[in-house]
Amino acid sequence: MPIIEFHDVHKWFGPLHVLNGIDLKVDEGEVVVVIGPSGSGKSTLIRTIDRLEPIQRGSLVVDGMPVHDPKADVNALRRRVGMVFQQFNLFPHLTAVENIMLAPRKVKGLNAAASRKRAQELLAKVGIPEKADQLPVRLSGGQQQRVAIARALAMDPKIMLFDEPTSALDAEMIREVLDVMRQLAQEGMTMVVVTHEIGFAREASDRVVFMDAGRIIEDSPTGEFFAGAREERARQFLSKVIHH
Amino acid sequence: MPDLGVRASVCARGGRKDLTMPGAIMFEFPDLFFTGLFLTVQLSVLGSIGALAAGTLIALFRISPIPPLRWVGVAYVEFFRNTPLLVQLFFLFLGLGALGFRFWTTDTFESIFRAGAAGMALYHGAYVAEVIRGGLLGVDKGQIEAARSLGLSYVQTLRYVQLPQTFRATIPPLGNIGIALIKNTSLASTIGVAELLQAAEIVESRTFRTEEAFGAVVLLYLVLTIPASLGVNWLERRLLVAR
Amino acid sequence: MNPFDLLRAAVCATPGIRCDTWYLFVDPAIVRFFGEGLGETLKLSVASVLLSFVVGLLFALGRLSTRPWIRWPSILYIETIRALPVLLLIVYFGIKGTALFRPIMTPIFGEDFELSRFWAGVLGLSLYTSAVLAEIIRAGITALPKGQTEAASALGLSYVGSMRFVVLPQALRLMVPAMMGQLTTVIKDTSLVATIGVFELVRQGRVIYTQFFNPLEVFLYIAVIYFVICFALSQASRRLELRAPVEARIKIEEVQLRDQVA
Repeated sequence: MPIIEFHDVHKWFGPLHVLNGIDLKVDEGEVVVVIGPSGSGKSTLIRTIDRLEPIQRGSLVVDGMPVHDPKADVNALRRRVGMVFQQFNLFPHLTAVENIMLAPRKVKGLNAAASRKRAQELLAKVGIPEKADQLPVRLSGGQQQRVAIARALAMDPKIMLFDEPTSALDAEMIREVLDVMRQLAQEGMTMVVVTHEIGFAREASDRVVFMDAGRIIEDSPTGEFFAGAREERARQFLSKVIHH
Repeated sequence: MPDLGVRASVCARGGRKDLTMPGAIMFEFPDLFFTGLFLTVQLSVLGSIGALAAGTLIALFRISPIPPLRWVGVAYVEFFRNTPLLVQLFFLFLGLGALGFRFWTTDTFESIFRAGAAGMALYHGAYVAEVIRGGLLGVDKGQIEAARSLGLSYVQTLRYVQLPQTFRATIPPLGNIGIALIKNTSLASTIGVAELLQAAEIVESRTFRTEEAFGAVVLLYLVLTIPASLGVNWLERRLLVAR
Repeated sequence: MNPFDLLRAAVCATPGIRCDTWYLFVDPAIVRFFGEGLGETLKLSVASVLLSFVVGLLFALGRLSTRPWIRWPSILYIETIRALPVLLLIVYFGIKGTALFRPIMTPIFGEDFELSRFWAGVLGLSLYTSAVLAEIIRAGITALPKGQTEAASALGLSYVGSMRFVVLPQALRLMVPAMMGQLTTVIKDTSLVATIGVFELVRQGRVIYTQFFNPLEVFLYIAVIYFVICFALSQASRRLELRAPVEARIKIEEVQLRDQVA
């Protein structure tokens, strides 16, 4: 039973056809990496799952909820789907632990003590328990992104979406974020990851989806994909990013 | 009724030359000057609270996804900013008074005072609204998306993510509006609130000691506005460092 | 009866709403009467802005001067005046203007010199507005890149020369929108001059409502007149502002916020 199911999904930004007939299924517990050149629509694709971008045609069902339906309870959907952004997007007026506690308290109605305890556990899980009371400006990019992951996990989501989570980070910080993601993958979290980190895709993903110009060009199990992508464009892209 | 005639009749009058300590006249008429000071402070505080409340509400209207609310917001801001406060005060006191509306009190003085405070709140609220709207729009879009992706509703995102940051960023401009408000409370004298300026006019008309009476009130206004503007500057610098 | 008539009947039946006086606001004589008030309002505004500009320019240059005995008095003037209510200044000049100016004016106008209420109002308004304009002009000058003055002095221009030919022409252009914005503030502030007996819009309004007992209608009518003028001006100023470089815009805006509200 797929937990995310795209069927013939289309989206336009003005005249630009950013998603052109997307068909994609993600099973529970699967880790899917989406790669492709910039402007290929991969960020838009992942953002439609959380309905940060509405779609204009086709159907998209996430955990049994019809996301394409304008009447769908979007807040209920988002409670079950965690999202991590390229720019971290921590709330600058709240400390690390307060960033993590906000949604559990205000959306789930957890009390302060319980949500703080949970937030501390999550900070320990992402490896920075000592940063709990720091404001985001005091944290490095890698630390901020790990707080952002903890913040998303605090809602106990069934699915985690990562939109280029390491693209804004310096090389030495990329590892610490990827380690956390790898650990999550091993624990069986359903993940959709847009990334340029081919190493992460190779080691941690079950499937690789290659996109170009708003279409899915190739969708294969990770081993097969790296053994030899079937499509010419994907091969070209791979050779570029690997030798880069 | 605001008696606009009084001042006209005293227009060309000369004054006596007394050399006393600046402001000493305050202690000869403490009931007028200090009651006036108290009323000015009261009007300023109540007006500021009201302006902040009205301004926040109107700012939320202005960024609302619902078009009619946005129209109301724009109309409010443009109307109150582009008409004189004096006319607004006369409208609130005399105009609404003609309709029998006395701000929920039978006491005339209280009713005048409330009209004055309402005028302060409504007029300055329009300026506050624009500042807060700017602050709300200044919050990074990514943060709003992050909040929504956590399942926070539109209202919760406004309440817990956008507004707290807005207030921090808007403290200096809001402080400047506050200083303007303190000064503008003087207009309440025209509808008969016995605040500072009116105290000066009453003392002046009784004693003809124009320089002393006005000098005393100038001192009292400076005591209110100069620390306030130093405070705003200090806050502004501190917030710049903290960023 | 159609719905419109029903509504009208309901409105007119409300005590305090004087439908029977509504004809006044289109009556040619009354409109002319308000028109005279508006004329006075505009004359007050223009006279105040012109006077304020000259005085404000002097104080702006004074505040930027490197000589302490020029700079400090300028700062004192600007900051003290900006910290006081305009109405206070207007009322003071209303009462004392003649006495203050008699020593200077008697040689010219003779013993019977009397400062008219109009000019007392202009003085009160200008005293305040000049301090504000001084700050706007100063912000405009400091918003110019430093290289401009340096280039001018490199060409051998004196301080006065570089101000006159290089700095001020550019700075003043940057300030046009802010000046227009301030003009709307001055127009609103002229209403305060009603309190010392100048028959501008508000004061004319008082004449009407004390005769016909319709303050609600009168003040709405006056508000609309102010609104039309001030809204048009502030829109024009905003449109011009968008053409100015962002740097200068922000600097001038910071100065202005407090004073536009007044």
